[in-house]
Amino acid sequence: MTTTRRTVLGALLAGAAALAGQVLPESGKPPTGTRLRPPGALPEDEFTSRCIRCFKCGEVCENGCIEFAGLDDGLARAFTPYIRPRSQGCTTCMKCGEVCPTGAIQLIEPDEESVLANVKMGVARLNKDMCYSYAKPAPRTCGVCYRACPFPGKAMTIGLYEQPTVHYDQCIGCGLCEQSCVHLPQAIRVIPVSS
Amino acid sequence: MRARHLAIQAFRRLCQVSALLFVLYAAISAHWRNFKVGHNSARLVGLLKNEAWGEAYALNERALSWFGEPLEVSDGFLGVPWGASIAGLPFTDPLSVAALASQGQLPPTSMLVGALIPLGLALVGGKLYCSFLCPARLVFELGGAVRMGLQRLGLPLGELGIPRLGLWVGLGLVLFSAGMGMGAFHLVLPYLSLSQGLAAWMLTGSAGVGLAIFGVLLLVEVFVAPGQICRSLCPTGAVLEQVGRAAPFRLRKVDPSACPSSCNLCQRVCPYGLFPGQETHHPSCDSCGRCTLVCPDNKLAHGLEWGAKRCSD
Repeated sequence: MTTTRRTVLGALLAGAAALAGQVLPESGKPPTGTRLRPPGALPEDEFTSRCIRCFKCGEVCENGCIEFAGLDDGLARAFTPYIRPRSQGCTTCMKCGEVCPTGAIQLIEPDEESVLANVKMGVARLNKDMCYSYAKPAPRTCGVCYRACPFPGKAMTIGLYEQPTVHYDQCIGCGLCEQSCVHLPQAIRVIPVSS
Repeated sequence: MRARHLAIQAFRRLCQVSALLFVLYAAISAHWRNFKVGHNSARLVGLLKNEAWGEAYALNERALSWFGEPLEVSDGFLGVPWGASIAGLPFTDPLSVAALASQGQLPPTSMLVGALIPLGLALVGGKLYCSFLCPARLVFELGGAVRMGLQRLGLPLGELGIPRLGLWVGLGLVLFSAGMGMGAFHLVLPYLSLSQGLAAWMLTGSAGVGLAIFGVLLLVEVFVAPGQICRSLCPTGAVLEQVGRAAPFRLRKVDPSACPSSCNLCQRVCPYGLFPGQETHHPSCDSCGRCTLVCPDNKLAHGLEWGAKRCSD
């Protein structure tokens, strides 16, 4: 059986068009699902177009927090790295930005000052109704998230019964609080900045 | 002469198997790095996982320390699907530069420099990457063996001939990336989906999309269109073919005397459907050398020859 160049090209085009119609989000519709990107990642659209899916960031991540998206994130974002803070928060060692070959993850110096100034993966959002320290009528002193926070006193402060307050301008969204939260479902969650 | 052909084939298999094993090893070494940074002790690793892990950890550390500081050496194995840095030499897939550029992003200098060695290899040896290094080709060739076995059993298998479209596929991918602003190369290239699938499998423990894509390609190879993915669809092969049009290292007919008119053994084994005995084998020939083995008169051999390749395809 032989085929001509024209028929195969036509079939390929038709297949690509059908695939594009199936998988790509319609224009104007926001992409479904949001992911917490590694620290130093460019804004979402630029990030996905600059990332060449070399997996370097995930391989270099000594903390093991970087995972890779599958096709359920859509073709445009398949194989891109993300962090799921409930299973492993980011310790901001900044190795991923160091190895990224294309600059999709920008290099940020791993010192406290630079991280606080430049990293914005998301912000932690506290649900007081679920938090043990805010429980009514009898608060139970918990404070686990405060002890997990890499910038205590800056990104998060505590009051009586170790009731946490997140300071959104300082919180970098590393997700260590979400990882540590002992309540299930977690009372503190990171909202990715891309959403 | 024949011993030399056999030696080249053995060397080719060795290269292919090493390339595939290296892809696997590079993916596993992410775990080794984790242990190295976290524990830095074979005994701790052994206690944490089990004895075998501890021994493997120590063995890997010893092996890496031959080449330098272990962690620094293993830095070079990061990102193996698209590139690596071995013994201080950077390697980048030239198509990754194309992929990035087609998405409207300026490729950084480090990637451009890394693409020089693969392009140089193509200038000297044409499609040597395809026949000697591509991990997908090895699996496709294994698939070809399975296909032969199935045919012996009498199974009717498809034999679709696809016209050579590699450059068109590449162009389509570039246009698609440019139009949609999303990368597409990593979803299509066989060797990339294979190595990304393996990397994802080793990193996360789930087989992932890459292996699924590669599985589909392998099914096509075995059941529908044998040899056609490498020959007609892979953009990398097509690009290397164009770069290596004048490559001096090539297969040639060393004995100019005419072949018997009834003999077409070299054509029958050629994965690209070329006819080396009639010298129709340039420039899409990737010097795999299967024809050198079957030629009863040893008329074909690898060697150096200058001048542009003939294009009689």
